Amino acid sequence: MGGTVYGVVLNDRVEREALAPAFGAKPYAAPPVAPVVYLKPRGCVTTGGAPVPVPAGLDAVQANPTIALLFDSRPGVPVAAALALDICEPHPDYYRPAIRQRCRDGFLPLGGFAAFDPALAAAEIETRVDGAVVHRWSLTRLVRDPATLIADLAGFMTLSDGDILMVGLPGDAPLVGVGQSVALAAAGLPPLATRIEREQTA
Amino acid sequence: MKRARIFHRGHACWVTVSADEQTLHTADGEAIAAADAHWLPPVTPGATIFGLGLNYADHSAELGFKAPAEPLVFLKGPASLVGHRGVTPRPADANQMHPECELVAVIGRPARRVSRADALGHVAGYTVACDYAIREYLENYYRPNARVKNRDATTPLGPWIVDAAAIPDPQRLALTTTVNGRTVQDGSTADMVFDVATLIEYLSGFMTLMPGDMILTGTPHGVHFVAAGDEVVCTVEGVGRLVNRTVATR
Repeated sequence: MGGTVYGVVLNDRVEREALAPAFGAKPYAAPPVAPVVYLKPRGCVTTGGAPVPVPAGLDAVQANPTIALLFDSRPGVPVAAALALDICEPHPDYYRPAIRQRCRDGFLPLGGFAAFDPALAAAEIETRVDGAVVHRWSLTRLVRDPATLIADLAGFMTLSDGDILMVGLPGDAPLVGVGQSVALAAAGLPPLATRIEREQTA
Repeated sequence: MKRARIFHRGHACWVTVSADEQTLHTADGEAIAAADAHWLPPVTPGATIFGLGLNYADHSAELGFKAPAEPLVFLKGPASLVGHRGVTPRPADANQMHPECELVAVIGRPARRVSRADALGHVAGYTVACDYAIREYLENYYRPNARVKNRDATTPLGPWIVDAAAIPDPQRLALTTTVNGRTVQDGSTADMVFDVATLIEYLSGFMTLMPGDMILTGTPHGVHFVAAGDEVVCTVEGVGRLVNRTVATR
């Protein structure tokens, strides 16, 4: 992975419908127009099932199941895809960039990459916590499907050269506690499994 | 010592800058006239690039905001950067596009849970950024949002990294911006809300800062809207003078 990891929030139609009344009020004043983008620093990314370290004082994290698209030399053309578990500390609103909540070391376990298939636009992702299915969502819930999202982002930023784009997060993502295991599955992609663990400090 | 990154003979490379800033030297001793260099942003590939909003009280006041209680941090990807003497697109509808001169701290040693007292020991050096904003594109979702702060080639950065040893106190540096020779920003890093050391303490409190990571520390008072074709020069005292030109785009 040599590029930058991007994601978008507020790309889930169900969440957008639920928040519609709030969009007209403070602090937002108007519904979002452009895709709402965030970045995950390189230190977030882990592969191979490394556990997610959670600091003292935080007992559960939001575990967002999504799909990460990988780009190469052709700007805006995804070449591979992987399951991604985007971890964040719950935060009350989308007003300010949630850097402290989203960018902790190890807060982005990625599964193995498979060749990109446009059929992923209708992928269903299943999340298990300690073996039990707790969440299921289909990317057909996305407000901007992957192709539309990529095209709209291209209006101001170019995705290429190892960049990764997570296509959206479910507004009803499960909270997972310290000590629990999380596993993601979606047809056509290597599965992802990890654990939420208490961070060890020196 | 100053280190720059240039495109030379078909590849990107780091060079050192002579004391008179007129000559660049490659690792194998080749000399290149600074005037002929193809400058790249002096950024290590993979580095995390932090920006700060509302980090000068006078700038917050002119925008109608209170200074924040916690640093207002956002992130940028490397495609948003452009080197010294580069060109930044100014969209046709960006009538409120303004330059923001900023001191940039470059991390030199891994930093995790570093105290403010020890923080500057983790800084390798400093450079200059012009963190343009386009006010028409601001939205109240993860504000300042990516359409404003992660635009391709809209953050000039450079020309070089000055060793931290040359800047014993990063909180007493003059910052200025000129547009076509006219001064539009004239401030001091003394007026930061959260100083460089505090920002390193804050960020390293939840993540590991790695060598090459960059912190763009915010901009002082002075909002001046640029036109296509303007020459914008951001200077940080003792660090460098960063030149950029805007160009019309659709």
